[in-house]
Amino acid sequence: MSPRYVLRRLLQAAPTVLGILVISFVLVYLVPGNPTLQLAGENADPARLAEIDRQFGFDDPLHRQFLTYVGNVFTGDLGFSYSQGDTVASSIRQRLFPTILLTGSALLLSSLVGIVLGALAARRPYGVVDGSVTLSVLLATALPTFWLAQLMLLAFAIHGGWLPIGGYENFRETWTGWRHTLDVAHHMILPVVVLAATELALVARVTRAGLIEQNESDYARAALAKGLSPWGVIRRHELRNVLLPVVTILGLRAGSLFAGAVIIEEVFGWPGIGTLLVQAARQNDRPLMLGVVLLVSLTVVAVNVATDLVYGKIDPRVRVES
Amino acid sequence: MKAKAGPARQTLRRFFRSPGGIAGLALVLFAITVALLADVLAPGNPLALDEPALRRPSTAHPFGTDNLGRDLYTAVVHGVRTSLLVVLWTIVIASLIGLPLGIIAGYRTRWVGGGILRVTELAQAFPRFYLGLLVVALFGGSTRNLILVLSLTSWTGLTRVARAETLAVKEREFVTAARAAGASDRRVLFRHVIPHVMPSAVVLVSLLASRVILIEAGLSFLGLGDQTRVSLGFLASNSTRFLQTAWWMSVAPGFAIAVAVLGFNLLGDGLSDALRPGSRPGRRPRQRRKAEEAAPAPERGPVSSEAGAEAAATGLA
Repeated sequence: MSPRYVLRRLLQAAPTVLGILVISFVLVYLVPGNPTLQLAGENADPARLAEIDRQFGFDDPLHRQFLTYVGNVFTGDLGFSYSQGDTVASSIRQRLFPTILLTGSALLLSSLVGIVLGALAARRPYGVVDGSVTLSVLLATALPTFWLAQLMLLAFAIHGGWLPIGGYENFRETWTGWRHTLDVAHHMILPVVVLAATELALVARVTRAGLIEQNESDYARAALAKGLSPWGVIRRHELRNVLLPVVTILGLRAGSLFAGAVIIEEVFGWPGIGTLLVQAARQNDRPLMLGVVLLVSLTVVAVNVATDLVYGKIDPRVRVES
Repeated sequence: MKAKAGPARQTLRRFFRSPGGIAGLALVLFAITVALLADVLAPGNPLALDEPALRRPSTAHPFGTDNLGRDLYTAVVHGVRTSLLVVLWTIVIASLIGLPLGIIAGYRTRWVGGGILRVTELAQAFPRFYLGLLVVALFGGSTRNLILVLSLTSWTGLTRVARAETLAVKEREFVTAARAAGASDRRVLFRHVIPHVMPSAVVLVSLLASRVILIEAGLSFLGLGDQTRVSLGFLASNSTRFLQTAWWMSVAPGFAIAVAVLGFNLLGDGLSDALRPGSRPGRRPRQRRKAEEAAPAPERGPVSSEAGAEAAATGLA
């Protein structure tokens, strides 16, 4: 992959990043409420107000304030979160790992299961398996994330008692090492399965459609003619070609995965950045809210760029055409 | 489609032959009826706290009562009304922004079109659930704010589809012929472009409606929706704390959302199949049709895949 392609793709993302920064800045700027008055109190004397304005740069012209803001964002200075009593960057850092664990596992699980389901469905289009896969995928997309989570909790945690009802680890024990890892894994099962289930549909659909198209191709027919079983053709030959679109939709899925994670974390009390964001929103902790939203938005942009680069790496046509 | 009775009737016939589409239409009509007749079906204030708390479903309370003694049947019926109100306004505003922009972008491809396309891409890059959450948290979760932020994040898909369809129809022979015969831009737009854009737009609007329901429910679930109205998401979030003692509290609100979302999804899929014959037959195809299916109709091919990607992109992102 030529450095020029990489560079061009990175440059294409620049306006998006700028747009995200502008929108977030404008939103916070537009919010009713004077920050100076909030800091100084309603009855502060004008000299004190002017001092605060100067200290925080509120009297700077707007574009200057924006540049300061951008500078701060890029140096990782996202301000101070009063609800956490810590800097925004550090509050987020403490919550980052559980979210990465949750979304990463769900991404992996949904991709694997989605591809398998799509392949099973494509084996005989419009057959019984295809019908039931299509139907369950349809249902999984229609169920609100929190409802699926609640139903699973009712069935497996409350009624069955097999899985913990929420949280990240067992607080009553102070396990370390592999015992702790197992404990976290045990707590992870329900959140990951629910998040993956809501994410399955797109992968399964894309895989199925791609495979059905490949079934008609000459090479598939040739492979069949040489005596390979239909399943063998799918597994050995067609799946490779279909993986391209599956990779492409990764970027698309990043946004919905993070959105789903907020709700899942809330239901299961998972200590990630989703619950952090909800806490911040409830306590009107603006720096923290903004920090999390910026992080997630920029991550989604980065995932999209990365997906395109990977795609360009696998499929040379993309590099030439774009 | 109204201009010519023939194709429209064929489309309708195809639509009513697909079980999924009919089921979707029925579910959507059911939800709309419930929303319109909420006061008749469930008279009384949905927020009234005059029933005994935490009662199991019974004949007096078909869905049970919640922790504060609200009748859940009344609450859910009115919650459906709130959801559909938000959906209706959102799709109207999003269409009014998105469709004209898309048609202009497809019709005037150079500077204006390029500009519109850039803005659309920019607006799409912001994860909409997070933007909605931020706006609602900063400015308050009134229904008006919810509708505004949902519309402002939902128009992009419509713009892209309208642009793609306009680009496709613009090059067709009958448009060239109309232009050669002296038809004005205005006539070409109203007579040819807009009728051509509508089918895809209708499909997308239906799928968009289901996404809007889910996002609204998600935001209310997080406690960021309108606190002065009953919403299904809020009912569901309230039930989480009572999962162990009152399972019924979490059943009805989620079920109502699922029904509405499923309805709009099925309706969208059914319409899509009916409007694009050959792209994805709803019924088991005969051997002969298999070849057609593998090679989508040339002029529709790229367009429908654009709409498909759009539908996917309108996910909860």
